[in-house]
Amino acid sequence: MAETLINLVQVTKHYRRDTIDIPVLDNIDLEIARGEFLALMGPSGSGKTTLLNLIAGIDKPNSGRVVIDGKDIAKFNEQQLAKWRARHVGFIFQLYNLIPVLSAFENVELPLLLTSLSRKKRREHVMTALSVVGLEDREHHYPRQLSGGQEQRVAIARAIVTDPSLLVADEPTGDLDAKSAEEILDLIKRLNEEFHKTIIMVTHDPRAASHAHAVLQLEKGLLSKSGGVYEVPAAHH
Amino acid sequence: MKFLRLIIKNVGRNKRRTVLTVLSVSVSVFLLATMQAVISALGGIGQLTGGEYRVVVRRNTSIADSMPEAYRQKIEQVPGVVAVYPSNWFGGIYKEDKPKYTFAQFYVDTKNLFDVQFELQISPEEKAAFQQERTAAVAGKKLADKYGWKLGDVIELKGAIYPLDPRLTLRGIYTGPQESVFYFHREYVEEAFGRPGKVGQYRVRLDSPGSAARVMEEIDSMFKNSAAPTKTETEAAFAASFISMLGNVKGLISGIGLVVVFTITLIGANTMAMSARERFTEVAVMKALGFRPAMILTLMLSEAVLIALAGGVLAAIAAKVIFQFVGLGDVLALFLQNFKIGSGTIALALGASALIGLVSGGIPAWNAARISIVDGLRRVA
Repeated sequence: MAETLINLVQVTKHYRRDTIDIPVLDNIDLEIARGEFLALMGPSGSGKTTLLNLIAGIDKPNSGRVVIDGKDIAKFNEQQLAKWRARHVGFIFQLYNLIPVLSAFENVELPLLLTSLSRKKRREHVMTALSVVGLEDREHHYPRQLSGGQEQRVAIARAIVTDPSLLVADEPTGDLDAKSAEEILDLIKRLNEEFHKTIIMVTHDPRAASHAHAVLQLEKGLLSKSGGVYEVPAAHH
Repeated sequence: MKFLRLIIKNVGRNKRRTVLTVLSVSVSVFLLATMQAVISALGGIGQLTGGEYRVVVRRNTSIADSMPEAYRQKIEQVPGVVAVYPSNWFGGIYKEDKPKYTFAQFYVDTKNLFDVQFELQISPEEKAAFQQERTAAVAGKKLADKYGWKLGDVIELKGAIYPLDPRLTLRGIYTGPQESVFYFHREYVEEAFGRPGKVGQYRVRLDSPGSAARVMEEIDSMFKNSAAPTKTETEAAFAASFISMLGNVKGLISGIGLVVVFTITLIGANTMAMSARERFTEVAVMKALGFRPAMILTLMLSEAVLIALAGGVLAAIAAKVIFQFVGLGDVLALFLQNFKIGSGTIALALGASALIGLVSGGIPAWNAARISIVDGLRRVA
């Protein structure tokens, strides 16, 4: 049986807007194995991005445990979470979120600035990451000089440059044309298959979800099937 | 050091805004540096070598009023007085009525001038030539160098206060702590006006600085019930009273300087706040990548300080160039012999600009450091 990387136990999350309490996630139990490629689907407001944020350590639950690789990150303070994210999580956003004044190389290097790596080592890591995404010849290009698909590749290189075990992607193809989207999904799939990254991807797009090993449906803060039982597209199994 | 490139790239993000901010800071810091230099120079008035051995006698009403020539003999008889010379401000125009041609001119009794102003150095030959010729004049070396004067040059002045246009020959160039004054014969002016015998001030040399208080009191007591009562002051006090004719210079310049610096700090804060707001999502992304709040705070504060320091450096260079090399400081130097942009003033300019950066960047940087990652990312989506 595959080793469990992520274990959510009775996780509840609600937001407060003025005096109104808005429930988002309600007593979620979820187990995700190491090396899994999971798609999170559901209508807008169902809580899929919130669930992703909790797993990625950029948000905290109101109750419950978020155990990643044996550590309950819900108990971490802000400093500990920042350090943990830098080591263990790679982020891929819908709008790429590259820093416009930095070149592709500098954008990918950004997370490495938080490490004690030498300049030479950082360069090696960055060039490796850029070569994985097929953009080693674009290191000096700025985001405005790249296509959307290329920007997302640079963002993926930035996500993997620290060699994290977990990649979280929030609508990674939401802003791309069909061809670029397919290329990005193939790349993400490759990261899962060749580099054994555990990937959790939020998407509205069934075609994107079809690249995942499993699809988890969220509806009004509830998993359609709890306890780590996924709806698995037949094509992948 | 590895973050320096990130800081510099962010500083150059909006070049026009950065340039304008740097210029704003530099203008305010330039004013502050000028203010500091003026205040330092005001503090140095009367501190020149020899000033403690002299007192100045003037009318008690105003330095613009005059005293009879006959006072001289009485002053010379006061115990403790070594030498006296009468002196009047001429205030003529040299070449053009422009600041760059403005300098201090006094017509004096040449016989005692160098006995009273004993710190001024002049060769015996030049001194004798100056004293023997009624149309002779002497100038300080700094003044002579400024206008390229040589011995024998004829210097023409156009009377602005008096209806007299002296044509004088430079017979001596003196050196000393004060080299910006031009002296010529009292006889020349007295004769031209039919010997009115009016004296603007008497410069009095004392036997020792300890005699000053007593001599001043005796002189003023002597003329207390006359038609022209006097006010005797130390040289420092006299110079200060001269300056005071310009009003509360220190207060005025300090006030303007501080108001401008305060205003620029607010403008800088607004600029930094704008910059931080524009990067709300970027900061959230950086925090998601693992940048801690303290690091975000440090990076943004560094940007603000770097911009402000660039303004400070520009201001220091401008002050140095303008006041020292271009020479716009001559007007100030007329009264403020010690006016200069020194290392202390430059240090103040750089310190003030760094402070402007810290204060203006403080709140925006603090707010950026506290951005919620979730809120920042949601803003994009």
